[in-house]
Amino acid sequence: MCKKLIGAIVILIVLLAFSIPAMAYPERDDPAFQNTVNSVTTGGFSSESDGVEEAKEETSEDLFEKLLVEIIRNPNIKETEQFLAKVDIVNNNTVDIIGQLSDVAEEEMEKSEYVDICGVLAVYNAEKDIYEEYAGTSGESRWVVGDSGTFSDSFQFEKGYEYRLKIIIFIKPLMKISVEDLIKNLNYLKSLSNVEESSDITMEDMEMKTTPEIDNAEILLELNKNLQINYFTINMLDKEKLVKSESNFNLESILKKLFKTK
Amino acid sequence: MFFNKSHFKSLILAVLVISSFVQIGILWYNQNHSFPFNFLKVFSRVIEDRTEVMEKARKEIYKPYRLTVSNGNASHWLIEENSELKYELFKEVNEYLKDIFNTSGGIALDSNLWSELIIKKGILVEFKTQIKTDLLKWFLNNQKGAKVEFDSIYKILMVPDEDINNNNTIYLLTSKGLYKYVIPFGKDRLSRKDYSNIISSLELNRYLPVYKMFKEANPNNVISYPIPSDALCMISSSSYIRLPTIEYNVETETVDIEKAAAAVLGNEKESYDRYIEKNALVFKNINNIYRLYNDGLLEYKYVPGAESGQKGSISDAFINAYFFINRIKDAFIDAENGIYISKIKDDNPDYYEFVFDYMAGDYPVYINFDEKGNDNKPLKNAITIKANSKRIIECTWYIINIQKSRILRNYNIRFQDLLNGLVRRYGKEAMESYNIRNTTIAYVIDNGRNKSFSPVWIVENPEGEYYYVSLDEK
Repeated sequence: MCKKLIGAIVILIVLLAFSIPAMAYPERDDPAFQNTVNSVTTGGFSSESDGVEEAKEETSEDLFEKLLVEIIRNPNIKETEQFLAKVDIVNNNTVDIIGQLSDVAEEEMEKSEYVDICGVLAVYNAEKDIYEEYAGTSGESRWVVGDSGTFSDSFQFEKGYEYRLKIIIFIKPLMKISVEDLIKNLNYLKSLSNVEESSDITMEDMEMKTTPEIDNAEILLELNKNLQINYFTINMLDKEKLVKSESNFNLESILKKLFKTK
Repeated sequence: MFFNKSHFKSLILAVLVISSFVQIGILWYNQNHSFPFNFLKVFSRVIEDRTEVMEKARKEIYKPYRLTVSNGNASHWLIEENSELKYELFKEVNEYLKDIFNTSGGIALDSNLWSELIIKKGILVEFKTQIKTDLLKWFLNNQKGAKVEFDSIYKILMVPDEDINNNNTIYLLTSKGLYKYVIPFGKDRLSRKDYSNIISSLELNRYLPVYKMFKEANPNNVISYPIPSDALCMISSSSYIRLPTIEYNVETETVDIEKAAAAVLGNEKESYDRYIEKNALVFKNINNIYRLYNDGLLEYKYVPGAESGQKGSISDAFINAYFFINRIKDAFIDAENGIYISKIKDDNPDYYEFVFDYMAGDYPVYINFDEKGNDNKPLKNAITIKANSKRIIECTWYIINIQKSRILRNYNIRFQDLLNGLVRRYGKEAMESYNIRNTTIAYVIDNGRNKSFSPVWIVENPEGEYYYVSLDEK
C-alpha cells in the first residue's frame, strides 16, 4: 500500500516538474515569442520587469534607456524632417537601411569626441499598438554612427507582408539624468503625442498624474533639435511566388498547343 | 669529274657566303657574340616553342580581373579563380567578343546607363585596366576582325534575358563609352536556360558569399562618398569571408651566379660579362645590362634605348614582353602564382609600357616599397616592362614567390566598417574628395616588419594610387 502511494507521489512530482517549463514557454505563434526573438534585449526595460527594476538603484544610463524605450514604443510621436541624417530604406532581398549624417549632425560630432549619434529601427506591432525594436542580421537593432558619418545595415523580414517602420536618430546627451529629469522628459513626450494617453506608456508607473509645465532646457531628446523620427512603410513582396505564377504563363507552350489543335 | 669538282667548290663557296650572312645577320640583330649553329639546329623547335609560348600567354595573362554573376535581384557572386564555371563563362564571353570584332553594328549608349545595367541578371567581366582592342584580338586569335569604333575595352556585361528573341545582349564599357550588341545565342553556346540554371545553382549554394553592387545598396545616393556604382559590397552586419594570409620568399636570394645567368639570359649567357656589384649580380654586354639584386629585384636596360619607328603593334610588343616574362617566371616563380595586366600605357611614341601584378588566388597583390633598386626609386608594381615590336627596352621586376596560408580565417568585410576604417585612417576630407575607381579585397606587400600579410580593403583612384585598411579578423 505504502509502495503504491510513494510510486504515485513520485509520478506526480515528475509530471509537475516537466509541466512547469512546458507551460511557461510561449507558443511559436505567440507574438510575445516573436518579440523575444526579433527584439534586442534592452536591459530589461519592458513594462513587465519594471517592478523588479525599481527595487535596484537606477543609473543615469538606465534612466536614459527608459526614456529611449518610451520614444521607441510610442506610435504617436510626430515625424520630423531628416535634419540629422538622410535616411533611405532599400527593399532588396533584405531591407537595407542606409544613411549619412547632415552637416548639422557633423558639427555636433565635431564639438566633442564623446558625442555619439545613434540610430534605432523599430517595427509597428498592430496588436499592441506600439513600435518594437527590430534586430538586424547581427542581432542588433541599434547602431552608433561611425567615423565616416554613414550607417548601413541589413534586416530580414518575412515576405508577403507590409511593415511599418520607425527610424529614430538622436544625439546622445552627455549630461547625467535623475528620476525627475526622466519624469519631465516623459511628460514632454506625452505632450508630443496626438492622443490623450498613449497605450502602454508607463506614466502611471512613474506616478505621473499631472502634467507640469515643461522647460525645454531640461528636455534631453527634443524633436527637430537632437531627435529625428521618420516613418516608412515597406511591402515585402514574395518574389518567389510571383515568379512561380509568372512561369505558368509560357508563350511557347501555348503556341505549340495552338498549332497542334489546328 | 672536273666539272663536278668545280661545282663542289662553288657549292662550298655558296654555303660559306650564306652562313657568313646568317652570322652577320644574327650579330646585327642580337648585338651579341653567338654562333649561328644553335640557331640553325633548333630553328624548327624555336618556331614550335614560340607558338607554345604564345598560347601560354593567351591562357595565363588573358583572364578577367573579376567575373561576377548576378540574379538581377540584388545578389552577386564573385566566381572563384580556377573554377570550371569561370573558365566556361569567360569562354562564352570571348565567343561573343569575336562576333563583335567580326561584325559592326554596335549601338552607342549614354555611359550613365552602366549603373542601371550592372544590377540586371547577367555575367560581368572586368579587366583591371582598359585592354586595347588590337591586343584583345590577338588574345582571341582573331586579328583579321573588322575595325570597331573604340580602341580599348574595360568591362563586358552579358545580359541573356534582355532580348525577347533568341539573342544575347552584350554591353561593352569602352574607351569611347558604352556600346550595346545584340547577338544570336548560337548552337554551340550556352542557351538562356543554361544561364538561368547556372544562376539557380549559385542561389542554392549557401556557402558562397553574396555581394551587392553599391548602386543597389545606395540607389538614391544618400551616401555621398564617391564610391563607384559597380563596387561590390556587403551591407549586413555579419559579413565575413574566409581568406588566407600570404607570405613570400625570394628565390634569387640564394641563387648562384651560374644559375642566375642561365635563368636571366637563357641561351645567350655565354655572351655576357658577369660580376658582383654591392648587393647585385650584374650581367652586361655592349647593349644590354641586367642587375639582379639579392632582395629579388631585377632591372634590365637596353642601353641604346628605344629607336624611333620600331614601336610597331601592341600585340608584337606584348609578345616580346611575355617571352621575357615567361623565361624568368619559369626559372624563379612557381607555376601557380598568377600575374595579371594591371596597366597598359601607350603615351610614348617609341614603346608600350606593360604593368603586371601578382594575384594570390582571387585577390590582387599590391607591391608598395618606398625605395628599391640602384636608383632607390619607389616600387609600386611587380613587373613594369617597356617594349616595342623589336625588343624589351626596360624592365623592373620584383621576383618573389607568394604562398597562401593553409589556414583560412574569417575576416569582416562589412561595407560600413571598411568605410569607417578608411575615414579613421586617412581623414574624412581626403575620402570625400578621393576619386574612387575600383574597390577590392587585396594584399599589400611592403617593407614592414611582418613577413606574413593579412588581407586588406583597397580603394583605388584612376591613377592607380590607393588607400587601404586592414580587414578585421572575427
